[in-house]
Amino acid sequence: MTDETIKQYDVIVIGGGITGAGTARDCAMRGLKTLLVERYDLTTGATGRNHGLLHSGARYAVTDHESAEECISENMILRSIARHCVEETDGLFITLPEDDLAYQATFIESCLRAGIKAEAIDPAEARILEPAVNKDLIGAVKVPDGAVDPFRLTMANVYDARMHGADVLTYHEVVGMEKDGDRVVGVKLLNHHNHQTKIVHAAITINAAGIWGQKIVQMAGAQIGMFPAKGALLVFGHRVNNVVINRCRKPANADILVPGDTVCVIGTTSDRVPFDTVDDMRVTPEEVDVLLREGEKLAPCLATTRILRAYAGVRPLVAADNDPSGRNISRGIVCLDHEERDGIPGFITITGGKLMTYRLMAEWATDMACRKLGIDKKCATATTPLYGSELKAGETRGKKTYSIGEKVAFRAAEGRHGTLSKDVPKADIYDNALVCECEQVTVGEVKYAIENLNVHNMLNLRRRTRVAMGTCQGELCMCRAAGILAKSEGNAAKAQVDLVEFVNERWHGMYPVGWADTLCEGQFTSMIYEGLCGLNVFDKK
Amino acid sequence: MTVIKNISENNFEQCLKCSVCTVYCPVLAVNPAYPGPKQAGPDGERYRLKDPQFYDEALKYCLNCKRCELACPSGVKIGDIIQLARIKYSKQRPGLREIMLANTDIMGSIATRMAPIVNTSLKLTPVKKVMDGVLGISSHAKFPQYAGERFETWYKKNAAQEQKQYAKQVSYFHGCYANYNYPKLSKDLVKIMNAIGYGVQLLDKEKCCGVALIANMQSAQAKKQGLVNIASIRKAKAEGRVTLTTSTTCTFTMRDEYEHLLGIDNHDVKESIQLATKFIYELIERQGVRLAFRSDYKKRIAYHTPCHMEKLGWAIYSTSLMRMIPGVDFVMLDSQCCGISGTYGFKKENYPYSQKIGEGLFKQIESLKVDLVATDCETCKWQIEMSTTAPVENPISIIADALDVEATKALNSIK
Amino acid sequence: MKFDTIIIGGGLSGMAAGISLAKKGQKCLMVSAGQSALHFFSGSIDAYGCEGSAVGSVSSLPSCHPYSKMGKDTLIELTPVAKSLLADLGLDFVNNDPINHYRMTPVGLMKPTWLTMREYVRGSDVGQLERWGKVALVGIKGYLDFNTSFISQNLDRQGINAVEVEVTTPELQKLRTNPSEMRSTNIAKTLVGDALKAFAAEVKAACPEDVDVYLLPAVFGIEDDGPVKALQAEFDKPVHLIATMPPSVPGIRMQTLMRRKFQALGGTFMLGDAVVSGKFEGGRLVSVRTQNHGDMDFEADNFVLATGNFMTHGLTSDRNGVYEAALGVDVDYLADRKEWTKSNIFDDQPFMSFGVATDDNLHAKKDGMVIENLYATGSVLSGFNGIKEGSSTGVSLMSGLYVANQITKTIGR
Repeated sequence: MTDETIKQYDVIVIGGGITGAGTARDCAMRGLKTLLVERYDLTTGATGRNHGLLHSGARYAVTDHESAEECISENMILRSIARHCVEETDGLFITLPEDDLAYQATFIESCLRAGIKAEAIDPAEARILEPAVNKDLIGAVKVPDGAVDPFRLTMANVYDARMHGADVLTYHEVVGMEKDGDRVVGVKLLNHHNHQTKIVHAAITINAAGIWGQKIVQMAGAQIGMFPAKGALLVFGHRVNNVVINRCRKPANADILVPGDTVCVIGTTSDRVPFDTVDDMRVTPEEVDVLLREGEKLAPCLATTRILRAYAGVRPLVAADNDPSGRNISRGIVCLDHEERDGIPGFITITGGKLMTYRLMAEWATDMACRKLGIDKKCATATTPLYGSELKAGETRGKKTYSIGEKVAFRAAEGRHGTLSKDVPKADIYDNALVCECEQVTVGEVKYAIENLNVHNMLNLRRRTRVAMGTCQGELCMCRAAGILAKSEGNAAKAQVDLVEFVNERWHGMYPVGWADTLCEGQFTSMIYEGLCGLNVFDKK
Repeated sequence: MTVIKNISENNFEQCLKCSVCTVYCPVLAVNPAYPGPKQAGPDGERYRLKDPQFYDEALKYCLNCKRCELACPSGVKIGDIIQLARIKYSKQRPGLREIMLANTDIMGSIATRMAPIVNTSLKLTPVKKVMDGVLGISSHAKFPQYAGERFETWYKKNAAQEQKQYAKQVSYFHGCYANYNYPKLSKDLVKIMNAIGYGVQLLDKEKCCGVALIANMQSAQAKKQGLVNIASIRKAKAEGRVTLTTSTTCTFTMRDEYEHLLGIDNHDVKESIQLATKFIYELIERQGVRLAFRSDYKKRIAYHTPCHMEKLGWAIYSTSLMRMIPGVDFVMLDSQCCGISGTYGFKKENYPYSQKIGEGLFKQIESLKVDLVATDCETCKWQIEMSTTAPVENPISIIADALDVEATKALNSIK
Repeated sequence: MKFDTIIIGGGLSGMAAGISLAKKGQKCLMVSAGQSALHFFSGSIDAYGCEGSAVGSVSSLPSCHPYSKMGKDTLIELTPVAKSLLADLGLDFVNNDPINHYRMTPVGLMKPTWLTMREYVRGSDVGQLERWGKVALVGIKGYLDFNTSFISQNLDRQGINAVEVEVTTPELQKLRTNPSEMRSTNIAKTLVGDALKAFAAEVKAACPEDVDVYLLPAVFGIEDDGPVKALQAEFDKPVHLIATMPPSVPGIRMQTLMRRKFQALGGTFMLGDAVVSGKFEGGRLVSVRTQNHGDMDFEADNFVLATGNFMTHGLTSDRNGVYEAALGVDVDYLADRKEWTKSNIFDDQPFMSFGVATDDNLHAKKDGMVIENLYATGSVLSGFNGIKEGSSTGVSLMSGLYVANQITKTIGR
C-alpha cells in the first residue's frame, strides 16, 4: 500500500548518523525546509560504534596532516558548542619500552605543525596525571584529546535541527529515488512501523548514509566505491582512566583507551570486510584477544577489570574516483556534487571523514546545497551552541557544586542532557524513582526521552538515556523501562516483543566476552527473562 | 587453578545487580533517606570514579554492620566500598559531639578518675538535656557506667607479678570498654587463662582500636592509633605471644578494617589477633585443654551474634564454649542487628532508627524469658540492656562465672 | 572441628540435603557464601517444563542428565519425601500430580510446573485458569517490578479481561521517597499489621464492587505467610498472587524457613563464609578450610557440594577455562571458548550445561578420580540446562534429597 501524501521540502537529508544530523541542523539553521530520514534509529551505524574519542588530531599528525588540522579545529569548536557531549579529559601518547622513542620527536613536530598543542612530559608526571597508565612507560606526550558521546552529540544535533524547524523521520528507509529525468526530486520512503510507503519531494537530496550511502548513490543511478573497514572495540565496566591513553607509534590495533561517561573503551582493530556483512558486525574471539593483549599494555589494570561488551563498527572509506580498486583510499572528507560528477542534478553525497569532522562535513554539504538553491547564508554552526549546551550566566563547566541531598540521578541527567535536563520531570517521588540503577536513569528521564527524543522502542531509549548500558546491561531496568514504554504507547503486545529483542541486543555484545562476570550476568539474565518470566516465547528466531 | 578471588580493587564490578544485599540492610528497613547498600556501594562507586561530585552525604546512615557483604552472593565488599567512600569523599567534618563520642580513651581517662560524678551527672536530666540540645546526643540513650578503677591500674597493682609465673603466655588487648567501664570482663579473662595455665600480659602500648573514630570521620587519628596497636601486637608476636581480645568489634577493626579502610599493613600479625573464645576453643580441640564447670551454675542463656561477629564468622567458637557448660540452657537468637552500631545509636538523629532496627531482637529476647543474654560486643550489650529487661554478659564472663577453677587446674595439671 | 556432614552451599539443594540429614540426627555444618538463588524464586518448583508428566519425560533424557543419573524409580520414591519436607516447613504447595500444571510468570505468561505455593495464580493448562468472573489486577503505585501492562495483555490473550487498578498508602509513599528502594522486599517489610489492613482497604476502595477475584503482586510475608493469610482474610473474594521480578518475597520466606529448620535441628549455619580448599586423601575428601577460619580444618565423613552455577559462583570461568570454585573438582565443559555461547540468548546455550563432573551416584570427581564421600547436587551439576528445561528447582530439590539418602545409606553400612 502506498500513501501518496506528498510534501515539499528544500532539502532531504538521508542518514541519522552524526553527519546527517549535523547536516540537518546546518540546513535548518540556514532557513531551509529540511527533512531528516533514517531507516532505523539515530546512531545505528558507525556513529554509535566507535571510541567516542574527541580527537585532538594528534593521531593523524604524522600520516595525514590535513585530517590533523581539521581535527584540532573541530575539537576546539565542539568544546564550545557541544559542552554537554564532551569531556575535556586531555590525552597522553605513551611510549613503551618495546616502542621506538625516536618516533616521539617526529610526532611532536608534526603535531605542532598542525596546530596541536603537544607537550612531552616526564614519565613520572604521566603516572601522576593518569595513575592507570602502564608504569613502564619511557615517554609521554600530553595532547588536547577528550571524550565525546556520539549518541548525545547526534541527538543534540537532531533536537537542534527540530527546534529550527526540521522534520525528522526515524524508521523510514529510502527504498527509491524519485527522479524527474536525470534530476533527483525526492525519495520513496518505507515506514518500518506500519510498512507503508510514501514519497517526499525536495529540491535537493543529501546522501549522508555512511557506508550505506553506496546503495543510495546506486538508486540515484550512479556509482561510488565504498570500502567497509571493520573496527572492533571493548567496553569496560568503569572508568579505569580519566585521561585518554594512546600509543605513540604509527596507528595500530587497540592503541587507544578512551574514558567515556561511566565506562572506558579500548579499540580498535581494522580489517576490510565484504560489503554484504556491514549489517551484521560480530566481534570474533581473535579480535577480543588482540584488544585485550594490546589494551593491557596501555593500562595493565584492564586485565582485572570487568568487560561489559564487545562491538564493531564499519568506517565508510571511499575510493578515489580514479581508482575503483580501493587501494587509494581517502580518509578525508568526500563531498560529491552528482550534478557535476554524474549529471544528476539535485543530489549530493557527503561521506568519508570522521565523527570529529561531522560539523565541517555538514558545512560543506550545506554550502553546496545553498549554492544550488541560490541561498546566500553563512554557516553558523561553529559558533552557535547546541540546545543543552548554552552557557548560563556565571556558569563554568565542571565546577558546579551540588548541595547535599541533591539526587545523584539529577546530576547524571544533567550530564546526559545538559541544560535540557531542566525539562526532565522531577517534581514527584514517582518520577524520581530509578528505572536503571547502574546508570541513574529515572522514570522522569525515561518519560522525557519518550516525549522529546524520538524514542519508539527500548533500543532508542538506551541510546538516549544510557538505560541498560551499565554494569549489568539491563537486569531489572529492561523490564521496568519496557513497562513505561508499554503504558506510554498503549501497546503492551509490541512492548513485550521489543523487550525480548532488546534482551538479545544486549547479549549480542556480551557473548563475545562471555566468561567471568559477563557469563554470570548472562546466566542471570536468562534466568530472569526465560526461566522466571518465560518471555522467550516472543523470540523471533 | 585460576579462580578469581576478591583481590581486585574493582571488586564492586563483581556485582550482578541481583539486589539481594538490599533485603538484609537493617538501615534501609527503617530509614528511606539511606540510598541502600547497592546504590551507596557498587552502583555509586562507578559514578564516584567518574566524578567525585557524585558522592552522596547520605552514606553517613550506613551502620557499617556488613550484613550486605554477608548476603552478597558475589562476594562484593559492599560495606568496605561505602566506608571507603565516606573516608575519601565526605566533606563533613567531625563536630564536638563526634570528637567526644569517638575518642573513647580520652573520655574514658577523664571519666574514670571522676567516675562517681560522671556516672551521676550522665543520668541527670539537666545534663542529658544539654547533651541532647547542644551536642545532639540522644537523651534517651543510657551511657555505660564508668568504673572507679581502670583494668590497667588494677592489673599493674594486683596481677602483673603473678602472671609471670605461668609457663605459657598470651597478650591481651582489653579495649576501652573492658578497661574503663567493665574491668570485670578483663579480670574474667585472666581468671580463665590462668586456670588453663596461661599468664596474661598487657600490650606494650594499647590505644583505642579506633572503630568509633572511623565511624565519626576521624580516620587519620584512627590510623595513628592503629599503627601503635599493630606495632605492639607485632612485638608480642615476636616474643611468642598471641594477642587475645574480648570484643568482636575491636577484633574485627584490627584484623580487617585496619587493612581495608585505613591501609595499615597488618598481614603478618592478622592471625595473631584472636578472639579469646576462639583461642580457648582451639586449645580444647587441638591441645586437649579441658574446662571443668560448677554444678550449681544453672542459667537459660540466649546468644546474640553481633554484626561484626557475623562478619568474622566466629560465633561458633563462643557458642560452642557456652554449650559446654552443663547447666546452660542455650538458645540462639535470630541473627539481626541490635541497632546501636557503636556510637550510631547515641546520636539524637539516629536514636529512633536505632531502636526500630533492634525492635525484632528486643521482642524475641523478651519472649524467650532468659536469665541472661550473651554477646561478644559491648555496644550490643548497652543497646540490649537499654532496650530490654535482660542482663547481658560477654561469653567470657559467663564461662568465668561457671568455671570451677580448681577442678580445671587439676584437669590440666596446672599448679 | 568435626561434623558428620558438611554442606557447601545454603540454597534449595544444600538445605534439602542438610535438613534431611539433620533430621536423621547427623551433626551438620552448612557454609553459604552469600544468599542463594531462592531469592529469585518463582513461587513454584519446576520439575521438568513439559506438557503432561514431568517424571514421564525422564526416560527420554540423555544419560548425563542428573535425573537420568538418579533414575526414574528413585525420583518417584523421593517425590513424597520432597512434599513432606516442604510441608514440614509450613510451606503449602499444591500440585496436579502426575501431570504438570501451569504457573503464572511475572509478565502474565504461563509455564509448566510441578509444585506451586497455594496463594499463587495457577492453571491446569495454558489458557485454562480457574473460572474467574470479573478480575481486578492490582498494582502498587510507584512499584516498578510488577509489570501490570504485560500481565494484563497476556491475561487478555487467555480470554481474561482484567480491570487494572493502582493503589498506594502513606506508608508505601514513604518507601517511594527512596529512588531505588521500593522493591518487593521493602514493600513486604512495610505491609504488615495495620499497614496491611490499610492497604487492603485501599484495594477494596479502588476496585469495582462486583470483582470476583483479586490478583496482586507477591509482596507479602517475608518471614512467614502470616501477612498473606491476613491479607486474604480482609477480602470476601479470592486473592491470588503473581510472582514479581526479583528479589522474591516467597523465595526469601522459603530460604528463611529452611535455614531456621536446619538450625532448629542442630545444624550449624555459617553465612558469608566460603570454602576455599579441601584436603583430598586416597579418593576421599578429609577436610575443608574456609575464608574466615584460617587454618581450622573442618572435618567430616561426607561432604555435599551445592554451590550453584555461574550466577551464584559455584562455577567460575576465565578466558581459558571453567572451574569449580570451592574445591577445584572436575568440571565438564567445552575446551574451545567459542563454543560456550551462541549468539541468540534464547538458544540452548552450551555453557548452561557446564558443571561438576559426577559418576552415576553424583559423586564428584577430582583429577578424574571419583571422590567417594563428596557429592554434588543442584545447579552445580553438569549435563542439563535448568533454565531452558524448566528443571532448575526440581533438580536442586531432588538431587539434594537423593544425596542425603545416599549418605544415610553409607552410615547404615
